[in-house]
Amino acid sequence: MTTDGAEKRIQSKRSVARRSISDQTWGYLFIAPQILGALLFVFLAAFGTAALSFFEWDFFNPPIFAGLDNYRLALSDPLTRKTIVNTLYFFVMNVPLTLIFSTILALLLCSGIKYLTFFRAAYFFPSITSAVAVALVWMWMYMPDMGLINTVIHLVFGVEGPLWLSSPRLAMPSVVLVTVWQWTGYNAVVLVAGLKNIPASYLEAAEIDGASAVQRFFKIRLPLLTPTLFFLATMLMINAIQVFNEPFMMTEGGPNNATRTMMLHVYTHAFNYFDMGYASVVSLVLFLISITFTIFHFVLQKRWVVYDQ
Amino acid sequence: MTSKHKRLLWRIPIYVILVLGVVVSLFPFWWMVVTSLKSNIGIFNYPPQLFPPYPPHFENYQKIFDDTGLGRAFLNSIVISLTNVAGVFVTCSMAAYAFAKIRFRGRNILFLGLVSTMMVPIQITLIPMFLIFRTIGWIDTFLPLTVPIIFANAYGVFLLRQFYMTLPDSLAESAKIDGASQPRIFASIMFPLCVPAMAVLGVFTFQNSWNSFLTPIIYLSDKTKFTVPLIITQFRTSQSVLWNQMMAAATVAILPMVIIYIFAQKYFVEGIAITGIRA
Repeated sequence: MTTDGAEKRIQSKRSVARRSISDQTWGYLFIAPQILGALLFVFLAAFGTAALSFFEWDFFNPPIFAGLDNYRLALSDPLTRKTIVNTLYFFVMNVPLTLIFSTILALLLCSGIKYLTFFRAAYFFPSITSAVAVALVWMWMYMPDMGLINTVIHLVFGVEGPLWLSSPRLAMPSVVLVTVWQWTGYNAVVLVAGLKNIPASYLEAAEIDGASAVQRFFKIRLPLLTPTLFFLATMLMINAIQVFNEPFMMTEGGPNNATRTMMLHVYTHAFNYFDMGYASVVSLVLFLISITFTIFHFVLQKRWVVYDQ
Repeated sequence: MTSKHKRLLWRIPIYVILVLGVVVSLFPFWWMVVTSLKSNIGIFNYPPQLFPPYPPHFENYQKIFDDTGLGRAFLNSIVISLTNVAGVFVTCSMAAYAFAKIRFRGRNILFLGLVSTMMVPIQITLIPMFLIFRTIGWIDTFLPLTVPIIFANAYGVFLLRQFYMTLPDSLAESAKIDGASQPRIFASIMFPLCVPAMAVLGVFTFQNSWNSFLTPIIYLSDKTKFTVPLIITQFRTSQSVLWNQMMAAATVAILPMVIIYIFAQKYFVEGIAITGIRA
């Protein structure tokens, strides 16, 4: 900050006063499009959701002030509770599984193998493809009677495979499997970047001191990887709580609401029932859960994240 | 056996696991393409063939373009995605340059405020944005799919600012002494230098716009305005479209990203290196 101020003084001495004013103006003009966009589409819109939660509004009639009616309605609705449970169920499967698989994959990729570029490119690939198109491919593979998965089960074990997406018990795990499959490679590539930042001298020193491969992993690699893991966990958590595309496409929230997530609940109420107040309440609850988790996550990081000085 | 040999031997199971992993990662795409080339009867064959039939049934692609409006949707998606890429280049690089190189009052606070919008998730802004766009008559236009991406893109500003910060101040200083104005310095010196970072942003912006699903499904109901993902959701309830045609459509939906990935693969990984995040 002090060097910033000093530079400023030198600069203003060097240039004519009028130019430095016009530089300021240009600065504001250059950032204006983004600042106005952020004000309108993020800040104003976010307050809009809070405001709407107190109104009854279906677009077609003028909005009516409803006090806490929307909150009472939405929060006492058993379906709202079910969507919260479903979202958390998705969350507790999706986040740990993705992190565990991608950590294992990243460690394998960094074990001094050849063709790293090829492997990395192949594993990263699913993450760039359209979630909706990928969901369609998996729907085809999950088909109970003629899908590839059950056909293979029949060929190998001689038994009928499960109903997958049509089974209330298996539908959510099936959706989770697709998301884990799609995002493990991406997360592994980020972790590989993290692993590559660990100085080779640390590992060599430990090896000379007689540390085994297992010890080197738990005492050096894993601790130095925790900041990256923390960051990835944050992103995965925020995304998991908002999950929408996969259940919307693959199950439409079914069977029997087994895969109806909070975001699907918001979508249905806002854009199928035109119940903006109700939908706003659910999206606020969703936001609140997301914020609470993130804060907890940040508070707990002291316990396990190692920031190398 | 020397320790070097031992190490090589150790690696064999690692390679086996990694190759199996690649198969798991890529097989669904292989199966998608194989299915898309099968005949209407061939898709039901038991046991299923894991390779495309000879001759391949390319007419599935023809049919999907003729019957479902996929061609129109493909053009719509291209127009939206390229508009976003072009728009983001202009607005994000202008703001990023100003935040990195021009001194003005409140610069740090404004930048912090802008970056904080990256933490606001879409579900909290979705409904009011819909109401705003509905009020000004933007439903069934591409504007709700482009304007917020172009004008509320903190990620893009953040990414490009990181890059502008690495450029030396002396570049702009000498031009200033020669009497060049800020727009001139930006357009003729700084903007061209920023091309590598913009490639990263361009790739991400295209990917996000091309794969975007939640906003198109909310704003578009006129079938001629549909984007590719919307055409794909139509199949969910369709009785007339067969799986080979659906897989042809999925292949078409993924194809542009595959092409970009082949030619610009390093920018996907570089984006991670610069910011650690994706938009």
